[in-house]
Amino acid sequence: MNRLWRSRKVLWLAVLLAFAMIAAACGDSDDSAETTAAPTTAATETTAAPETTAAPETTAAPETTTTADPGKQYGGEAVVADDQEPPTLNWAVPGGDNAIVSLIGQSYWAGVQEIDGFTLDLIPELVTELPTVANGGAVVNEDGTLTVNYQIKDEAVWSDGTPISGDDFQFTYETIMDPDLATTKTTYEDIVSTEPGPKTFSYTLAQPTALYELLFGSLIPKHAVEGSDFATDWNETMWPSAGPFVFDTWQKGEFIKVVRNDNYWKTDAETGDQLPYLDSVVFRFIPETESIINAFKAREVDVIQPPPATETIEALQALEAEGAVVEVLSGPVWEHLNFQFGPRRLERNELSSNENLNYRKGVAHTINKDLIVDEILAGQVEPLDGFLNTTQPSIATDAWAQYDYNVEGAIEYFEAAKAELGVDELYTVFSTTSNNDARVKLSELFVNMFGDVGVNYENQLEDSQLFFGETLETGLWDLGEWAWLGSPGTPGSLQNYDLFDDLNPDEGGQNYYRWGTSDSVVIDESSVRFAEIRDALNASVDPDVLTPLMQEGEQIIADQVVIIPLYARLVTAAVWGDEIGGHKHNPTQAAHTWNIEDWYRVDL
Amino acid sequence: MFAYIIRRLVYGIVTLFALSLVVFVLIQFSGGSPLDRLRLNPRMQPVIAQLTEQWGLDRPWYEQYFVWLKNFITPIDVAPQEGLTIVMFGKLGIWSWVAVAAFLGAAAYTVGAFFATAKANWWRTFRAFSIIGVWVAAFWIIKSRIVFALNWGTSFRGDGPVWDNIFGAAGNTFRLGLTALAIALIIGIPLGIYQAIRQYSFFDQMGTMLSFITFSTPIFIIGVMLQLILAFYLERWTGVKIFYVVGMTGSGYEELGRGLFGLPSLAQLGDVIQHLTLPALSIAAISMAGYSRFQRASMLEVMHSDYLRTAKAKGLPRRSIIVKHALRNALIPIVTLVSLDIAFMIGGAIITESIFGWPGVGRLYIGAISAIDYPTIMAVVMAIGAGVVLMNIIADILYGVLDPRVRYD
Repeated sequence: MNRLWRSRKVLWLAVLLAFAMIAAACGDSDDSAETTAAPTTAATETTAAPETTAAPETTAAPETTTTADPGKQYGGEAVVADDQEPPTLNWAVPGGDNAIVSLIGQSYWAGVQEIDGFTLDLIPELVTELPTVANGGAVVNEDGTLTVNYQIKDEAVWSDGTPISGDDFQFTYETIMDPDLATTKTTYEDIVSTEPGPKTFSYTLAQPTALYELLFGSLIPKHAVEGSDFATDWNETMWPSAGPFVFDTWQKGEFIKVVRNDNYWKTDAETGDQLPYLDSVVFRFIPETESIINAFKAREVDVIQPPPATETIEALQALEAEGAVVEVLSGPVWEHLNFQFGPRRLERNELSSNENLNYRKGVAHTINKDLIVDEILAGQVEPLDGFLNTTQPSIATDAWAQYDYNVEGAIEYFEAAKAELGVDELYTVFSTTSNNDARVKLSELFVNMFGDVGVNYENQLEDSQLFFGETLETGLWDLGEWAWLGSPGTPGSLQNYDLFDDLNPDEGGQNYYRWGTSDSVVIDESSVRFAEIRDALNASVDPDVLTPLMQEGEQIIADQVVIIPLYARLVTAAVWGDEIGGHKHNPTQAAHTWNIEDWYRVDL
Repeated sequence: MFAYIIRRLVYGIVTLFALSLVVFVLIQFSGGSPLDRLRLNPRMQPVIAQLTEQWGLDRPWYEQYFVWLKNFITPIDVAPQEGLTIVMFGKLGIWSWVAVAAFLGAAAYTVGAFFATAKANWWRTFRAFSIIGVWVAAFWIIKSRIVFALNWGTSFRGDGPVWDNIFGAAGNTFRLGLTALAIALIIGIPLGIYQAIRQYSFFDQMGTMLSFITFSTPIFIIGVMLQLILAFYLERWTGVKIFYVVGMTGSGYEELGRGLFGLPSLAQLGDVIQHLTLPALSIAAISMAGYSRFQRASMLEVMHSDYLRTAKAKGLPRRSIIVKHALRNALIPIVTLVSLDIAFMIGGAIITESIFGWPGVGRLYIGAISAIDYPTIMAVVMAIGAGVVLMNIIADILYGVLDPRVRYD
């Protein structure tokens, strides 16, 4: 018996040893999944600082946890949660275009411009002022080219103390233009000459275009990146920072941590204090919205930007009494209803009436946007009456306001359409993605709306992979609905006009509507005039020329009811106001980290 | 037996080949493209064209399949890693897998040997030394960290080599899965046995009811409820942070300091437990309910068998009847259940990992599916497939160990 017992004791010990060793060995965090910031190399001769800069001295970091200003304390950490994890840290490689990459990148990237979260205007970041025709920074030359001049701020340095110079602009340009690098080269490819200086950079574009305003949004440090394999070496670590923080750790699947950039060159505009206030920021990745909310409730995270479902917003607003600050804004993604004018619409709906303007106007009056916003967005924002509202509200004219919800008016238009088409009944087939709750809800609302005006209506929803992968591009729909991602400012507005490029309905272009294209059922004076406007918009940088043209172009799209803007998707951010100060949500793609250098712990 | 194993392995390879073909074709014909995400950005058309060519998406599907298959089984050069840590799953290579297999084999052998009837002293001594020998060998293999990798391609999402991603996540998945399995086995099996012994008692009825409730509750609900009760409200009630809602470790894990020989310190161990408990409990709750029901049924079947009635008639002690005669036979069906659970563990607990922000294979898989990242999808599917094939073979072998009536022809 004793021998058996001893034997069993040995065996039990072995069992316990087995489990203990497996548990200890599995998934230990001290492995290759964790990466740390790459060591930086010394500055090159060409990037030597001007004598006046003396960057490291003038930008010496304050001691942590010392008082900066009453109410703004140095030190502490903020934890930001997001449902996405960046696939890469490099914005210029596949996957780098994900929103989360730039959301985190704003803590260590810097470029010519940034988006002010209060005014939504582009403001200068690394340069003393944004070049315009008025200030002489953008000059239309006699030969029709456009020269743009940047004056780099004297105090701007990389986190290793190397001054930011024109060579970095030049290197950024050359990197982007590398034919092997799969990144968008739009507008950069039109640069015909460059001229880097120690604290200046100039380039000339082949023709004037307002898109120059978006160039060099994030610089690459030549002294640190030159000689590396750009496409592979910077996916899991980051080059020296030009922003308020430097990359510290990426625990794959869990979090990215950035820590204070002791050489950050920016100061608080109000107090003159050195920025940033926080010692570190942790970006934690939580795929499930429910878990993001629970982690926020449990104060495991301080700042969140969850997908803006109405129930999520309501759950967050219920926490306002406990100190949460919740911001709900109209975001950059705008949903719109649209008509297909190409031949394949008839495969979806052989009785399609999209070619008839009265039918389209009838549809515009059929749509009850207020109800849509109430049902889908819980009435948190106003419906959309124009696409300029999403990019440049200051010049928006609410071009679609003419189409109020009006059942009688809609019926009149439909009767006129029937008479013109010689038909007794009208048929509409609606297609959008079936795995988007808001769009499914929209399709359900349409059933009643179209029923009220006596139009035969059918929903034919598809999985997003099929819809975006095939249906959209081939024009195989009658009445469709999807969203575009907008960006603020003139360049963002111009992007909308290119969507109706009459020469680009196929691969390489995005006139999925096929309005005014060679295979369109509608080619008329309006589409011809719109094409002229679009060409003119792409050939000017003068706001006095651009603004009226953009307004006229939008009015044509509205009058012809090519599309019907519905609403901009909500963007939500919540922060524990009793923990983090200085937070201001930004409804553009810059999102809530646009002023991360201004955040500070309230509770220190 | 050797011939049997070889035969099963050959069948397994054919099965995996068929699996890869079917899944690849399904992905190809399910519509959509990994580049669809870029299409709604009006300025990305040239990039789409470039990536289409670079990734070979413009080729016919069968060409893409053969390129994938060739790469999938082609080794690539990886620099050997230095260091004598007991961390297994970094750049996990074939030898690390051998180590895993050795661990699992040793663990299974240890459990099996525990229940085996010892007939001679020499056999007991041999058994004890062989167990220690297996552990020493496994430990040596882990320490040597010989690295090997196959060319499983690069993720279309942009997050690097698939091999690294899969095995980077596999360790995390095993940490969660093995803990959950241990909890489920340690509680579920004794629970089932006790219920069978006390059939129709109050405890049995309560156990049955709770098992049905747990089993029929979606894991999402269980996970979120655990988050709210044990992470959120418990902290409010006690003022002490005991468990965390999300994550595998805190962001300050490394600052907690390492223990002796680079092993996790007590503080780090505490941090791990605080993060691990809720997701492990979520998975364990459902498995536990399943194991207890299965064990109860199996135990009842055995307890009503003729040979047990004979044992009772011979006047053997009740404890001896249950432990020596009933339990050994009642455990046999559980082997299949557990081995399949281990196989599917490789694929990760998709929902649980998403709820608790656990960086495992399941979460990787979900992300890959939504991005149509077929190099990653294929790799995960093949890993699960290989796991199922392998664990089935192991289960069959264990049957023979546990049940002398089983013969391999």
